[in-house]
Amino acid sequence: MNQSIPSTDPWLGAQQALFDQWSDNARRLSRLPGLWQRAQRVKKGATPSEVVYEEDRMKVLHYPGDSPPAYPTPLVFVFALVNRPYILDLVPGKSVVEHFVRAGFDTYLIDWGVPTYADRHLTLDDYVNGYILNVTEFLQARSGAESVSLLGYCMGGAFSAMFTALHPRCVRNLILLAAGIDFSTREGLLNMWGDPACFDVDAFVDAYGNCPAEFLQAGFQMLSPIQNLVEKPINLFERLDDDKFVDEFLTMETWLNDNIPVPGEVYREFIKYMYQQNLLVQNRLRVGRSTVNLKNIACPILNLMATRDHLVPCSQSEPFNDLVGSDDRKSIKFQAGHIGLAAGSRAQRELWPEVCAWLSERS
Amino acid sequence: MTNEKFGETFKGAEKFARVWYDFAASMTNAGMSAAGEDPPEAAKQMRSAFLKAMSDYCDEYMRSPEFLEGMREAMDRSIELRRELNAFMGRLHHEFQGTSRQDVDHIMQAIRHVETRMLDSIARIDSRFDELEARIKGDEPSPAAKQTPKKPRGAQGRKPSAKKPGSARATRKKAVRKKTPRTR
Repeated sequence: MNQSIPSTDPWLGAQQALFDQWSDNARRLSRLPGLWQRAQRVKKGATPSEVVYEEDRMKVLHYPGDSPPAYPTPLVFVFALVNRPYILDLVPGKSVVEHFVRAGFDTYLIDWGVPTYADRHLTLDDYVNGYILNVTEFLQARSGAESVSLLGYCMGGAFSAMFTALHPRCVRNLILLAAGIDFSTREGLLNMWGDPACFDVDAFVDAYGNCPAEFLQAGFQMLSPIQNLVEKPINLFERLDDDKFVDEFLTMETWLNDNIPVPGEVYREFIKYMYQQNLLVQNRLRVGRSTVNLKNIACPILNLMATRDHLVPCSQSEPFNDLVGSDDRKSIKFQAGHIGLAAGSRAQRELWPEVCAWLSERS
Repeated sequence: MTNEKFGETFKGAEKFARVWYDFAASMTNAGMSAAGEDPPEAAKQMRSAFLKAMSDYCDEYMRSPEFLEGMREAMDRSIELRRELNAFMGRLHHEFQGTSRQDVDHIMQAIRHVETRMLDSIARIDSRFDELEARIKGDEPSPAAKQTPKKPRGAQGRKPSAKKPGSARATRKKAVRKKTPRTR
């Protein structure tokens, strides 16, 4: 009698596991209808801020913090044009901004706003020699500092590099976060899709005006279609019971789907001169009437890259340190994806304290 | 000709078969390694192996010339459709004596051209003003002027936090205002 038990146990166990799975799924299904309401309650931005400067659609947010700044040099976050900047200040405990504010930096963030059709003629010149220059001048006057520290993320990193090369005296420290600089590599899918043989950017911008947000969103989703369209919903379903996970998921998804259009001319210039002709690394990129020479960058450089970045692979950012004229330059390759570099839990624990320490020594 | 077509078809079929062979192999491996675990857990491991293999193939396919060619064609058609839509909407607006998007575009472009010309003139006047100032001060360019010869807008020699009233970007709207702190 006893000998028959081991042969039936696995079968019963398997049946029990299947039944448990079925009842778990039924419970998760019952939670689905409330998801939409929870998604509507997602807060955008965690750290208290005030608007200190406005120009056209751009706003500069200041994060005052609880105590006066410990360092005289203001720190300015320059974000990309394709998304909203609150990924840098997502939720308490997962906020890059919070790290710097707590460390005593006088922290500012440029929010480019949502461009309309009327903004389609804005160029790289308007952003680099216009908006960013005006912001730095305003902050110099406001803080009394001679220069500011810039932290540029993704496309904002490329803008920051251009600005620092054109106005070296305005920038004390430059931090690049997953910034595409050298587009000669074909490692990333976007580089392949942006090839002139596949994509006529002139015809696109002439027809559409601004680059539509939906176009950008579809492009980003297509970079990892299985992960974005299959694995992600499955993961969410399987962890619907975990409130913390669901809240984080909804916050991240809200940001990921909060794409904004990119002004047509700046999109044309960025694709044509950066992706297709790769002029920045050749020191041949014209911004307005000036040519960007990366050798002019003499300030301390910190180049942060993500090893699993499918949007801006390390090979796009890595050459930057060899192209600048600075002697004080450092690279950190962190094991994360493009977004995880800013919003990942590990990055919050390990990367950002190190970056704060690097900057505090130079501010 | 027939041989070529047969070769292409055979290659395609071979690729297709390879994809499914790899899928089956990776799923079987995952299933074997999960032997002894609960069926849902084994199924999860097989699923993740399948998705990983599929993701790799997607990446490979999206780099292939076939996909790039298809994407180019789709983009060209989309752009053509948008052009026709723009032209149609323009005609429609004009028929009703309204203002079309193209009209707004033309006005914006004209404004940009006027702005560029004005900024150029201001930059020239600014530069001359600097020269005159230097001459008045002592028949020689000032040390600052020596270090940073005046360049048109956007040039790197621009002095921080000392915006000149007539400098190019000073003409842009610049509203500074303070608000009470808020949480976004």
